[in-house]
Amino acid sequence: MQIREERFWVYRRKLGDFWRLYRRSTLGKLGLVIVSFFVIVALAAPWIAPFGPFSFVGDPFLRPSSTYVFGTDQVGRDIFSRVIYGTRISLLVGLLASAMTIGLGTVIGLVSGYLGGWVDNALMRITDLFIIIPALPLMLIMASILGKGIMNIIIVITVVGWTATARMVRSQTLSLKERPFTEASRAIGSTDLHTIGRHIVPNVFPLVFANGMIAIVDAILSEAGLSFLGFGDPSSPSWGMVLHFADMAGSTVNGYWWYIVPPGICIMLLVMGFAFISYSTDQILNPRLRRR
Amino acid sequence: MRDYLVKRGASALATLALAIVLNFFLFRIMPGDPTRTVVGDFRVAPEVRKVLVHQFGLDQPLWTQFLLYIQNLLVGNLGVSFQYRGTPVASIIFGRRIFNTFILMGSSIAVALVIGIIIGTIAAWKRESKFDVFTVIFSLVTYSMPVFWLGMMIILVFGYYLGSIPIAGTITVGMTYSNPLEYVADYLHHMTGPFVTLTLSFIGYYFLIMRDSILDVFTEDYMLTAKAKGLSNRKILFRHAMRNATLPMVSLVAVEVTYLFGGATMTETVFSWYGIGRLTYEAVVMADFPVLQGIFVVMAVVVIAANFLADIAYALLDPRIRY
Amino acid sequence: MALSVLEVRNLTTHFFMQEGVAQAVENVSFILRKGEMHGLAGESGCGKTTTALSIMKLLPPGGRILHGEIILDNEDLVKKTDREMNAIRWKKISIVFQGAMNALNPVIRVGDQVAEAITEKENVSKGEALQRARSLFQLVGLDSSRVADYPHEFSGGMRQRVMIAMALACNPSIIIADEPVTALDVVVQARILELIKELQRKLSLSVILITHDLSVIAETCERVAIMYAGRIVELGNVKDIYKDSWHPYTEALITAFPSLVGPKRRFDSVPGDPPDLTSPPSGCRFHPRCPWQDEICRSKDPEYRNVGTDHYVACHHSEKIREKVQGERV
Repeated sequence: MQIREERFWVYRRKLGDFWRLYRRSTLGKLGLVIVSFFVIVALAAPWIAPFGPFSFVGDPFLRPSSTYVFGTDQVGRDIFSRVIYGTRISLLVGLLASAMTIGLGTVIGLVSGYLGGWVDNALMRITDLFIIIPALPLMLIMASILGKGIMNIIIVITVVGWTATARMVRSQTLSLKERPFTEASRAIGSTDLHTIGRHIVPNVFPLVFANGMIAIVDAILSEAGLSFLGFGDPSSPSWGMVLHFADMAGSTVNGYWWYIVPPGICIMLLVMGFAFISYSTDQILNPRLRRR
Repeated sequence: MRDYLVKRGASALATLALAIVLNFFLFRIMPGDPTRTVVGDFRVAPEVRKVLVHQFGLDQPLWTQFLLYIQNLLVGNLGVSFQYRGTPVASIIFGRRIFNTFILMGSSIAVALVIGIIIGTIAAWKRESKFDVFTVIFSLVTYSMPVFWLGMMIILVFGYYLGSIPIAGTITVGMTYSNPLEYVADYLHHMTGPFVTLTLSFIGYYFLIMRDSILDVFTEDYMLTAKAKGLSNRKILFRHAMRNATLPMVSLVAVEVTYLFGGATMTETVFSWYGIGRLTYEAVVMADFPVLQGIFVVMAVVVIAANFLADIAYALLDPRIRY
Repeated sequence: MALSVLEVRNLTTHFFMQEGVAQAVENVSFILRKGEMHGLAGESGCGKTTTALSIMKLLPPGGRILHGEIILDNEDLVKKTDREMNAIRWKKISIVFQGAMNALNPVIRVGDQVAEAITEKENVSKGEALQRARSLFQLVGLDSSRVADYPHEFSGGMRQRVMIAMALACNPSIIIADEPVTALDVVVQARILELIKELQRKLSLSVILITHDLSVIAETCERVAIMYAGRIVELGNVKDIYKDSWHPYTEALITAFPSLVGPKRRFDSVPGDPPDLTSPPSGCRFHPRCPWQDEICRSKDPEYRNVGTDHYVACHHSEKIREKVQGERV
């Protein structure tokens, strides 16, 4: 009991130290602010948006005004409301897809690194294959097979993205496996699961967390890209989808800038938020990068 | 060294073999009727459909199809496109398309790498200075921009508003040229949009990686030795730090090379650049399986080869690996 | 009395870090004479390396020389700019770092690294520089053909020889050796020390030898400065100090090594840990670990005073301690 309690305080302190250092980084704070902003917008969407995301409220291609802050699209829907509701999709896909990607990658990496032998070989061959297959074409193909839908997009992103985490976790596990505490753990007769869970996972965790931020960034950008190319869910107002319709309507050649700029800026800002968090976390967790 | 190469070479070949096999089965298990592409959604008489199926060899048992596939591969026959009514896939891929993609990707990756490496080195040297902060933020911003959106914005600003770049294609349709230079100029003019888009999208990533790598190198003892020897800062940076910091970049470049041939699907689509990326997109939309299969095989070969070459390059550059 | 080649006067260097200001070196003064081997001894963290880095002006970011003078050839190095120092580094003073594992660039041939030092300072061709590198290798006992090898192809001891060869490349008059043998096993240690001593004689070098190992100092140096918590607590001829130490810390260091001869006696080590230099103890910095400490030690900084020929000590109670100790010392 006492040991568990002590461990809790150790983690508490480490978290406290991390937070203290993080607080000093302007970029880190900015990132958190941006992400929080979008989370709030997503949660409060029904109250903030002046119209529904699918309601036809006015003439098509209206320029921005006080009624329609971002103007209207080709069927007369309010772009501002669509963008606000789009926040939900982007965040949902970003967080869910990255969680699954990291989860899958970590499990495979741990198993592969820890068990070694033919299991490792087999898993690494499979990983290599997935790395070789070009990501976007694979995504497109899978999307066309699975059909439209948010969940399908999430699956597609996960299937394509788990390899990076798997490789990283595997090499970390391999090096941790050689460390004395692993040997010690097994010497006293702990089961493999126990050793992995108690000793290897906590040491792998910081690396995975930093990678997780990148995974979120990739997921959001992938969803936007897929939707833009027409493989997304047409019934959802995700930012990528809005841009897809913007492109269909020839916005670039007709100068409908209000259709193009807002959704893109939102994608950029949300991704930037996570990128800033990732960058700041990296600067702290990687001791070699810290100022001497 | 030789053992190392042999081992890597064998591994590469094994992966390639696996990839080819996988490639075959991947497209066979995909649902959807391949004949749909060929005849469109018309109702056709079942006999006609049967003829077409036979023509494309889709009625043979799987095993026979596989052998045929391997046989064809060995002679460079990648099949025949559904979409383009009988044009050999190989000629579609290895014609103008791959050339266009290669030129576009090659130039943007090269430029982005050079700029990223140099600016990354300087930013690491001047850590925490205004230059560093500015370049880091710039990189994070461009890294966060969706590529297709960046392309759209460039078209909007420079194409629509300023009219300084063309908005689609590799050359102006229907134009005649009095000399080859004019042709090149027109081509390059069309390439400006996608080139700038791609370069900007790559540069942030390369910059951040290089900067990280150099900062890592700065913590090494030999940097202090170099300074103790009285070398100028510039010499220390470029002769000692950079040489060590670019090693990890080599593996990175290998990965990037796959883009050289895979093309940037998004960018090519947005700018209607006649390359492999756009071909991929079209093939998916039109369910043109032979083309997709062909592209995948080519990509597999390129990626595996690139990784193998990167292994060799790394071994040549890092003397520690040879032993 | 030989000429002094380097004079350090009241050198004070602090490190300004996020956690606070570490008073790494305080009022350190010593004189290095021509052809002499001067030791700088003390525990890790006592400021020996910082002193060396201060002399070469190679302090990491955050380190700053607050005041003091370092006189070399009638010029004060403290006042020199980095660019001016570049001309002096390696040409007049060079340094051999500890644990040459990473002190040599792993992707450049060792010969080239040595030659680089030469071509940088003198107007010679690359080929000639390499030739000199080869003869330097021979000088330090390495096969001259090994200039084409990479650092990882050498053992620890041989790498240290490479470092020494490199340090001699531009014929400096002063060499600072920072823990040159600490990372080596005892047999190799002895060989390298022999080499250093031999080179010093042959080339009339003046050497500052930094180490925590007093036995090394005993074997090689003529004079030694014992440092503790950033200050020199005792300074004098090695013979004098061994026979007759005036500071409790010195005494403790010397008696920490059991003698192979003579009667068995109790093995004393110095209890406690070195202090945190961001908030050092009041008064005499050694007082928390000193068995003789009293009120005055806790409140007042001891004066650095002359107690014999070129023998200095910073302690309030040296006389008393000496009397007691002389009785016990074998």
